[in-house]
Amino acid sequence: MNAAAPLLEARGLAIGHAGVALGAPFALSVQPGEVLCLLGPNGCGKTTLFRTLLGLLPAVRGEVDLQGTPLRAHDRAARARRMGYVPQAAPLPFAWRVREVVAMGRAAHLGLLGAPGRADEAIADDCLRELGLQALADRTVTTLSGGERQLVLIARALAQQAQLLVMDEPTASLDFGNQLRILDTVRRLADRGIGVLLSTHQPQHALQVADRIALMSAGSLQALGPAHEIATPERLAALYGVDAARVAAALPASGMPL
Amino acid sequence: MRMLPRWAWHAGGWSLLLALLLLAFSVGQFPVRPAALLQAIGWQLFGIGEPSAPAVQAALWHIRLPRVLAAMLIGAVLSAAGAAYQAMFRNPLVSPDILGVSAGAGLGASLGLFLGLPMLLVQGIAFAGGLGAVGLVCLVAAMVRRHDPVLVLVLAGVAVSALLGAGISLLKLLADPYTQLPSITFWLLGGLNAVVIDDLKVTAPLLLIGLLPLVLLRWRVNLLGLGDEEASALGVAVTPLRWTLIAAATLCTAAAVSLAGIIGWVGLVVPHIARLLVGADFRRLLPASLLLGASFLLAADTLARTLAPIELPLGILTAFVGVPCFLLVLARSERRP
Repeated sequence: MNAAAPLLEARGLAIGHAGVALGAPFALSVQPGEVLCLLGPNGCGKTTLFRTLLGLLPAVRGEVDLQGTPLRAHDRAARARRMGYVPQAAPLPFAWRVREVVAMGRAAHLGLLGAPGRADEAIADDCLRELGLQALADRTVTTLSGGERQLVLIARALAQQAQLLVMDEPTASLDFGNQLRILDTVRRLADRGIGVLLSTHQPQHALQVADRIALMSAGSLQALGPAHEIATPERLAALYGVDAARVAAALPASGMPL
Repeated sequence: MRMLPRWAWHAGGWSLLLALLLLAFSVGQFPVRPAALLQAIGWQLFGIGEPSAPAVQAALWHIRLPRVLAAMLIGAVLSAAGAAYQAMFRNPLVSPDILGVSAGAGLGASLGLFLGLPMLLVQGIAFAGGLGAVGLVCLVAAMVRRHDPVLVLVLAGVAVSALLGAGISLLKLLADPYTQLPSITFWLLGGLNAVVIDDLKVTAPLLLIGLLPLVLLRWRVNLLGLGDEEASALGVAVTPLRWTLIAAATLCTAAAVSLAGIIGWVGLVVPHIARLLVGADFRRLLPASLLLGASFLLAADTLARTLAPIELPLGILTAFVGVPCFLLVLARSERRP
């Protein structure tokens, strides 16, 4: 795994708004087939980091490479062909059909005046089938549950046919079953060779699915390494400002190498 | 609500338009019987049969034809512009005058009428006023960078519309109450009674030029409905796309309003109904809005000139027909989970 070139690599990266860094520079990389999970308290800069890595916000300092080439050197469409984004599943404003929403993931593969054709619709259907959603293809997105909507957005990101997926709290506000479904999906995609960078508020989820975990606070990464070395009760307690014994009691014993 | 298959709404939409077209040609102050209408059409279009009486020809081809064409064109483009604005602003309750085009055109026309200018010049000033108002709103929005661009556009549109509305009120106050005020009032209420074929030769190309980007970019319009960040992450150059669509939809609306006055509700209600019939994908929504919008305004204009002994202002009728439709749709629309 280490021999492969990273899909995404940030060096000396400082994130922030209007040229003001939120925290110290840090490094980060995502390898093919790897799940990197970002943990951190509310307001620690996870969203700012994602927006920077997606190229929606300029970096204050440092470099971000996408598949070995500076992020800025890719145009928007080239970026979208290499990096898919799964936003938090907010309700959509219009009653598109599920297949239409998934086909929107093809935008970066189409010309300015183009529209998804048969081949793109077939890709959209493949992506739905991969996530077991083929039965939803003709439903309107306004009738979906939160979990279904999140899965549809993952299918849309898959339709971008990118090697890297960035997911912003994919398990937030989902019920237990849907959380497990999303985590299994993430793991399966990684096993297929896709690199996944995701954020979550649930350390248990990070331990279930992540190869590596990054702890983020005050706009910078505090630690980054193999999941079980990083998500220890002591470190999590320091990260979230709570008592270590309380954290240890809240985490499932099976997941924790204490 | 289930969506109609493609052939069903095409067949239904075109038959409705054709039926309304025949009705619009036959009714009015000078009724033309169906047989006489067919005879006149046969002679005019295909050169078969006998020529009609000169009075029938004059009523059909010089009075009704420009009006019918204007109603269909304006209804179609106002609905298309409304559908585009709704998609761009991610809000199904947006109408094409959200950015101040109607208020700007209204002020321009009021000024032209106040100064006693010829009608063609009044239309020209109205058109410039409509474009100018939207230009001002967009300029403000481009200068304010630290907020959500869509929110700034909408707020600036509301503010500029209110300011221009105050200007219209001032002109109405200053206008001569016996000559100028009625003409300003009638213009602001909208109507097609003064349309002649030469007006259409100027306006129709503008309408079609405005429509062209909407037609060419019809699939991409959907992507703006996802929101700026999602669309951008999908590889869409959001800002140039939005400016292009705003410019196109504004050109359509300004040209329509400068010819027909302020005709509300068409651009809000018709895309709404079209969306219920064919779904939200702009590739189907655009043709459906064009077709339904043409029918809607043709029906409203036919009512406007036949319902009462005097000509009713079109803006009043579109509100009387549009608002109940809208409330009905609102009450019946699916609840969002």
